[in-house]
Amino acid sequence: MAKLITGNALLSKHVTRRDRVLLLNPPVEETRYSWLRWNQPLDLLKLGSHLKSEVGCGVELLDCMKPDATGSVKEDWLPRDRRYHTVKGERYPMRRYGLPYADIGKHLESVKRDDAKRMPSQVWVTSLCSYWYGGGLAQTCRVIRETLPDTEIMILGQAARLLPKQVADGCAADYVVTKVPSLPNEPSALELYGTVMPQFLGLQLHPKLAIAEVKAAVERGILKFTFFDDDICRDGGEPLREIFEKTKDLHKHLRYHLICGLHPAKVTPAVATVIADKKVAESHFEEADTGGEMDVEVYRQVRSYLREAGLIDVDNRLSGFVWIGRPREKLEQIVARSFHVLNHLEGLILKPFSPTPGSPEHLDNKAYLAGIPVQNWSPHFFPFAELNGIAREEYHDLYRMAAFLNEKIRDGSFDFLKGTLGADMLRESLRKEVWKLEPSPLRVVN
Amino acid sequence: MNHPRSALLISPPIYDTQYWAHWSLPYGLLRVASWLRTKGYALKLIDCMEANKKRVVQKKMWKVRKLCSTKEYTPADVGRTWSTFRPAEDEKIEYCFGLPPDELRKRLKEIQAKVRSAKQSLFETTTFPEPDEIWISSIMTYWWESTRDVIAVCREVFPKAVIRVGGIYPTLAPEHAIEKLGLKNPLHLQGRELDPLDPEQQRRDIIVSATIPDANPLALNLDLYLEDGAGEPEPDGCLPEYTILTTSRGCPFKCAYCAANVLNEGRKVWVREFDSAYEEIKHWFSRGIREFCFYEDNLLLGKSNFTDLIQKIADDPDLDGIELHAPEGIEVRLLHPKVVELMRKAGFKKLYLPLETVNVNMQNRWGRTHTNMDKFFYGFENAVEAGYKKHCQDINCFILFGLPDEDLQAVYDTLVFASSRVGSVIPMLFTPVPSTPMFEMYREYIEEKGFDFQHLNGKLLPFLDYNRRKYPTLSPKDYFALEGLMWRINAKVRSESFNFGGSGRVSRAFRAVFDTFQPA
Repeated sequence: MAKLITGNALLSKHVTRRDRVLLLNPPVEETRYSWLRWNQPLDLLKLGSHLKSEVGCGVELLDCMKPDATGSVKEDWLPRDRRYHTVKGERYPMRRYGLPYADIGKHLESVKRDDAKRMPSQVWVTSLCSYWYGGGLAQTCRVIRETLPDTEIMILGQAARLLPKQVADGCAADYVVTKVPSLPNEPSALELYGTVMPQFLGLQLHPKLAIAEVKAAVERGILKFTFFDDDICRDGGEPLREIFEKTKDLHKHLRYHLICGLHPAKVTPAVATVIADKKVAESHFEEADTGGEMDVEVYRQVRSYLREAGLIDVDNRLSGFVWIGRPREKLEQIVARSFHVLNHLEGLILKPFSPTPGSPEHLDNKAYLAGIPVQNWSPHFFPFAELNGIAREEYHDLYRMAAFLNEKIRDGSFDFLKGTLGADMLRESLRKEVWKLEPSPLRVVN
Repeated sequence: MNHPRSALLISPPIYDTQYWAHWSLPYGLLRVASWLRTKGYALKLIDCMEANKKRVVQKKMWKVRKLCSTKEYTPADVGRTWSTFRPAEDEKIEYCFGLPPDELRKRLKEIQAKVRSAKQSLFETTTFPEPDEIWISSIMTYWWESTRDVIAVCREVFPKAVIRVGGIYPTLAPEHAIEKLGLKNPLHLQGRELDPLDPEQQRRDIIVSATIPDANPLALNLDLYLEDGAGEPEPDGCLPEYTILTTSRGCPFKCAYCAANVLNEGRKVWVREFDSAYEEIKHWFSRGIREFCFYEDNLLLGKSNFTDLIQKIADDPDLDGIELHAPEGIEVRLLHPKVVELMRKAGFKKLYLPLETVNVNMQNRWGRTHTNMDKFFYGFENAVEAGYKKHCQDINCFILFGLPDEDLQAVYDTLVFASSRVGSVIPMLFTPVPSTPMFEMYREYIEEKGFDFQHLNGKLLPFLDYNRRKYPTLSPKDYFALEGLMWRINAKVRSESFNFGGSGRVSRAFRAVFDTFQPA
């Protein structure tokens, strides 16, 4: 069984300049993966820089989630025996996203066979979400072990940090790194991607470093940037504004994608100016929640700041998340929240909830969650469904409703038939329950 | 030495605000091609609407049209460019879909240049000659302008060629075509009167109305996509991925908005022998075509013939993998359990049912005497019984709107009913068709507005002003909202669309919240 070590121990005691480290971002096994194109192993890229500059060892990267030249990530059904995952009677079709395991094996095999100097002495495998440890992570470790039996395997990332014991039990690794080494000043080692760069670069909100990283990335032909940060409006939005202002003109096709950490309540006029700029390709607002209630006023305020910043028309770059699957939620609440978000923003994104191990939601529902295997904590399996009394099929229905509301017609999503006769007529048809129309009992056809 | 008579066949581009090129094959023209070949003609096809592999045709911004109006302009007329132009709420951009006339001119000049260089060569034998005749198909009446523009280009490049225009437009409105298409003293003939070998006809331009009876049973001449009648390969030529079949023509009913009776010179139904249709299918299937689309006035009227055909298809293991389509709709009254079961077995993946409205008064006003909700339920239930699924676009229903004197509440009732019971909707904006009772009924309004046919395209909401008599605040936005709502109904997750009227808790929550929700 793998030993548990901290990040600092990993860097100080387990790796020397004589080592060759292969950093590996494994494939993901999931029932759906909407944010596939935004998967980037930021922790590995920063560790890569550190290993090269501070340790001086050899470093290579195998990013199984990197999109190919056409922008798509390989995916396939899981093998027949694992194709469906059943949670309380609901069958979920399962897919593998990223490089096939056989291709990982072939890659390692070719290194072993053709280039002894490149043979890794250690493989560091990361994990983006804790509940994924049993799938892609475990399978990848197995392939490494089978192909390179003498190579040490270290597991990092969220699964290792949040569920170290389960990971140590379930994966064929030598070490599980329980504490992530903090490397705030390390840039991402983009050079590890070789000649084919990724299509985007994830940043953190440290202006000096981020600006330097964007400049270097643009020189390498990367023009899309996003922030992997829980709160991108912190300090009044000043760091965001600074990074944006100092980099936006580096290339005419440079674009920022604000895909997470954008809290409506923290949006300031300065942040609104950034969002309104055409160089921001998309802005997804987190759900504004105050004590269990949606803070509708905050969305109004955001819209007003955006108007002041010059964003007057309907703009499909703006959308808002609405949580589903949180403990003790009600269906009516979710529907109403969806309506409110769409009333102020142009797009609605349902965001399924997963309890992070050790988080308040986990601790508040510890007894309930104790009966649910961690793999089933994936947001797509709705671990709180039983607690909420909402069936999983009803969650699928919510997605259907969101698809209906979100479908863009004439560039806009459902606008509640604002300013048209339609709102009243649709209400009237729904009140009349016209779907109950039945054939006449005396019908004669032909 | 006598050269065979030569004809260039052109399917013109179209000017419209939207176009779905999934089944854009010029099947009438290709059938005429087969007929002309039997008369010894050398043929060459220019299909301006030829779609790419994704079934999309090129498009180019053409002009701006004000809705329910005769007003039209280009951005240049108001000192602007297309790149920055945004239409106002009561305007739509009209595109030229397919090969624009300027590019067609280039194609024709290439043909002309080849002819000239071949004349100077002693050895060139596979060059298509200067055409004696140019046959142009013209379909929707509101697309007539592109036919006019194609004729002008043809006239310019091949002034000696005589022109024949056939199709729905010249059948329904021959006087309009004679007056507006720029033909030289044209003859107006019915299809049955056409005689390509008649010297008088050979000298004159011709407007052809209705079908050519001898052409009806013939298979489409799809080989013209590969090479012309002189044996010269078409550049990048390949067979289309589908073909269109017509196994019957005509309809015994007389719905107020439909022109089938005029197109077929009466209510008689002509049925093609199923054996010849089956042979055509076998032939094209063996050449790699897998999708076969039935374009019929009323597919199931020649039911025994049709069922014989699809029974043969279903029983033929060599046709494994065939896909059959009937996108023009199927009469629900005739969708008997055995028929629909057989259709599914033969390869119809989707069904299109004309629901049109749940309102009996509207149905009666449209002369839809042969159908009603009971019959819709009959066909629909049989389809479900046969294995077609609800809420996943296996079964789709047409909803008609944009009609004069319509009851908008009934349109909403229809869409809510369709969303809930069927789960997939195809919105159909009404276009008044010349020669139909409905057109005559509203002729006074049409003339009062000064509308020509191009203004009557349903997508331009020709009856918006008329319906303001009943709904004074009615605006284009109301129709866009209605149409948008219909399209949204089809959005699917895990192969299912959302059910407004469902008994599930999410549907109920949606209704409860929507009922009281007041958008800011």
